[in-house]
Amino acid sequence: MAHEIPAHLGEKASYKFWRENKTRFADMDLTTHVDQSVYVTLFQDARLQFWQWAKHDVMGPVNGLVMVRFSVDIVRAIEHPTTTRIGTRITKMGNSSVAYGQGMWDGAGNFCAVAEAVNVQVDLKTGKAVPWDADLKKRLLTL
Amino acid sequence: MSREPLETPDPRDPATYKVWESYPLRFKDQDLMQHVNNVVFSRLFESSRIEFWRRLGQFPFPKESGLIMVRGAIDYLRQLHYPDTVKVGTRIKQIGTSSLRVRQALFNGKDECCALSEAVSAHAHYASSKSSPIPDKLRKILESA
Repeated sequence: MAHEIPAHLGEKASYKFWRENKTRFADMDLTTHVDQSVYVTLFQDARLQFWQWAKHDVMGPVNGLVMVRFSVDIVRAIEHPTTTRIGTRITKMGNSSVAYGQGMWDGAGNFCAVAEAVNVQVDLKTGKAVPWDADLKKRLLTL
Repeated sequence: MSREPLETPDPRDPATYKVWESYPLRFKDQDLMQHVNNVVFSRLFESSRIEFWRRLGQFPFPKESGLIMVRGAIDYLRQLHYPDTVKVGTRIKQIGTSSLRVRQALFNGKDECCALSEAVSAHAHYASSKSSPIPDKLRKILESA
């Protein structure tokens, strides 16, 4: 069953925010490739850095983001050592949700993976969804 | 309980290292204490040692005999916090007949020394695990590092 990767997520020019990270020896699995679980870690790190770049605190103290969906499509194996580059951007914002698209390239410029993620903004005490502030939403959609 | 006194030259001094690797920290490196978990320090030191061996032309490791790690010790001096980019300095501390001591120091983005590592390896035949003197060719490479 083929899942069609959105082509625009593989276009470097579609990203304004980039996060680099360096692979570590312990990232490799027995195939000597970077293990698939590490892709998830690298995409997560890039999303957190995206929010710092966007100057919006998603770690509380009142509201926070919870993950409701995440998918990764691996296009090519990553060989250690290398420095990965991940582009991250918002693709859609709902009433209280935010969807991201991410693309990852290795140090040689090879396109390696795409991730799609959805977070919901919640009240950290009650766990209930909290709608986005209209001005904040407008600003985030320009990034 | 106080720490053991450090040797000379002071391993916390960045000027004592020629070989450096830097790593941006990852969100997942943190634990519930909201600092970088102690195991992550060990992996950063390991990754830096591997790159040290690679620069010396010793990685990938030889297939039949080579250096096997027999002891690893880390002194944690300061907490690490995300986000940050750390730098790890690596150098050879002592070359014995069949053993090798590698010294490392990890610095945060403010150039504060956060941890020290000492890794001891023994030259051995992998299958039999019997130690053997470090071959002259490898010794010369190590002495030049």
